[in-house]
Amino acid sequence: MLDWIHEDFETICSNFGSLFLYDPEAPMIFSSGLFWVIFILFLPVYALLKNSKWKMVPFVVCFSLYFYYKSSGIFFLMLIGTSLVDWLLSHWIHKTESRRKRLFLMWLSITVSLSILGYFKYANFFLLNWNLVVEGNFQPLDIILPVGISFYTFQSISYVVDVYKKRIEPTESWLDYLFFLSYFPALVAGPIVRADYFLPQIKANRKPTKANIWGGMWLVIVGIVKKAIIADYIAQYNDLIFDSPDLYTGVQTLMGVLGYTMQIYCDFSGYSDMAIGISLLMGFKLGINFDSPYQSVNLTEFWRRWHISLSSWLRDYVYIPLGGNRKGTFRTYLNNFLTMLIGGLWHGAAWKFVFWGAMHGAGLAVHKACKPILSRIPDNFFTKFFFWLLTFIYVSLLWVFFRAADFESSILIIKNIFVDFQVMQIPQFIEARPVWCVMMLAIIIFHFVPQRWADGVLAAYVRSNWVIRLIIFLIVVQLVIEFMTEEVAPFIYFQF
Amino acid sequence: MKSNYFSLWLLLVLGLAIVVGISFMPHDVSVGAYALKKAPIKSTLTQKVAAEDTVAALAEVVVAVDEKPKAVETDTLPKSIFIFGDSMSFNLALRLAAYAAQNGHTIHSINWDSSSTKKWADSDTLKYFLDKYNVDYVFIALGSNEMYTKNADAHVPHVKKLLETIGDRPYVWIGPPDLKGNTGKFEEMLAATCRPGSFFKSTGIEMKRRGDRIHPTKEASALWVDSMARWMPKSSHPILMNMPSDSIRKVNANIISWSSKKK
Repeated sequence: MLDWIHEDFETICSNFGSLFLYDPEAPMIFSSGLFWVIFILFLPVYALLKNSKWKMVPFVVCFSLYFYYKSSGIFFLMLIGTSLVDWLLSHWIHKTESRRKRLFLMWLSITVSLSILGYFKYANFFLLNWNLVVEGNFQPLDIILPVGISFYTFQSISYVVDVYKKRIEPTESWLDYLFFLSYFPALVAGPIVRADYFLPQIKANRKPTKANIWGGMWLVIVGIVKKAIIADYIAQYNDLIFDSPDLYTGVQTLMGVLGYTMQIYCDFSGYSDMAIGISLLMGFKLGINFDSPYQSVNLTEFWRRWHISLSSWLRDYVYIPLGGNRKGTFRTYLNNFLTMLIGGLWHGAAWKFVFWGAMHGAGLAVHKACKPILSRIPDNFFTKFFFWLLTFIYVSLLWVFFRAADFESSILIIKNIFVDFQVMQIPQFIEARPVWCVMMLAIIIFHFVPQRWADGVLAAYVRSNWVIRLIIFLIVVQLVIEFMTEEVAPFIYFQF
Repeated sequence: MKSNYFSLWLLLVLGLAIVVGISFMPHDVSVGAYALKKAPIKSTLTQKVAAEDTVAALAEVVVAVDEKPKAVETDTLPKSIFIFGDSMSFNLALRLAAYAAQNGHTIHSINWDSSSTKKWADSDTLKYFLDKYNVDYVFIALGSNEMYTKNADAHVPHVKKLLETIGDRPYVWIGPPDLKGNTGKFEEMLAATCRPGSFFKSTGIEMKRRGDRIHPTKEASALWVDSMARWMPKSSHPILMNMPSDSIRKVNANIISWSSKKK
């Protein structure tokens, strides 16, 4: 083996070196081996510098910018530019007395941020629809969407608005703000970190406890299991159904839809778990982003449990500024609807996302309108189960519109389930795809396990022996390798 | 505090070292009877060498494709035919049995539902039956369960292992039928990996499908075999494949339905 290594040493060195360069085909994600190689180099330096803010901040900023360079190439410069503009404007806002001028500066900052996001994310969508309206022939622009731009744009907007509203003071140094905006655990796919929650943690003396460090590691392991084992595996079948919806029976299609419902949860919450876990072991708390959303018994509850950092952002920076529930019943429903419409559009530049958001908005409005009637219904197991089922079906069916290529395919998929469903095909399906079924069962159990059980397992892991932790880590890594598809599927939310 | 970071760091380093070490090991690492899959670290780091190999292999394929097909005389001797594969192979075997009866061949078939090149390559089923039936002509019907794979090249080792097991015996790989959304990469890989003149491309053949909209009906499968039989003289080792007469309706196809439990 040594001879072989010697012969190919040059090739190995060259390939190893090129792994550290930007490759658009291989963005840096937490479930990739390369990230962990780099993180192994990062961790001891961070442990040495973490107690000195003036050393820790530049070091983490450099690492975060490198992380972003690996994911988005040259666009890391745009991130630096955005942060500088925001920081300068936030200081200007802070120093300005005139309310009108402050308002102008806030809107200037928001306009700059949204213009950049609009250009990269929505320019071609706009051109496409303009072509349809005027029957024109504009060619789509050759635009590459920088990874995570939607996330950090929302962070930057909330920061500037909070400074304008005097909820927070702007950071003294630009580097602190760049630290906040480019913080690598949350940079490319959230959670959307709020300045008032995060900035004080930079100043605070970080003393991550044993529970923080190993609790963080446990979250990382849970996230890897969800994303790299379960979501990536079940996605292979789900993709077949959504790519060719006219080929499959009702049972197969239903399984594909249920599969995608679980896939998107495992994919996104798995990523969030990894991000929160990595941050926790660095001593920074990011808050909770998912709270067993499919346990919800109504749509309002679902949005309190699903992508919490986004839904709370939309509530605080869209819904409440629109008037919230302060301007009468009709405006409340309308504001709800408009907020979800924006939320839908945030997910992607396509009408299917607008429709998805609109349907969630409509669902929330209906739930609000029905509250007086619902409050009179007895609260027992059967009613709870009925409303849980209703919510789950509604959410799952809307995921079809979110995932399918177009509206026509979505309708075909839903029609297939209702028109071509034969119970007797279920045993055949289970026999043909036993591993897929086991994965689905595992995630359903995982999802509905009481929180105290999950906390108990976490506590046991933190208390456990180092060798046990190593064995758990190796088992999880080997499972990832066993189930690894040929190409690592990027996080579904990566594109947003 | 620092000890916690150190033990975490040590855990990550040791974990990585073990994974890298296993990846570079020349032999399989097994837990009981199960051989652990290796992380693709070695192949990633030695990509250049692999790329050169691929270029050489592609050059061979190009040469092979560019060569004008040589007229090969039909082998008129009766054959011991063996057809194996996924669920598609069942109806193909039924029609091939009629051809065998018409042309004096014997036929045996193993139909393993939902199987793939990997499943067959990982088991000794093929070798067992090739020896058992003293097979001298093989039909393969595999690929339908893998044609949506993202990286067809990753399946090359499985295909090569199957072809090594078949050895010098003449064979025809009946390519998977058209399915919507198929990119054709898997068929391209099969065509490039099979011996020249041993891959029958099925895409483009119109087939009526069963209720599941994937599997061809029995009648469509019969027409599929008929197409293959018409192509047979162009193959690398043609055998007698005259169209069965109408009197041959029901013949014994010796089909064994196989599953992984019976490995």
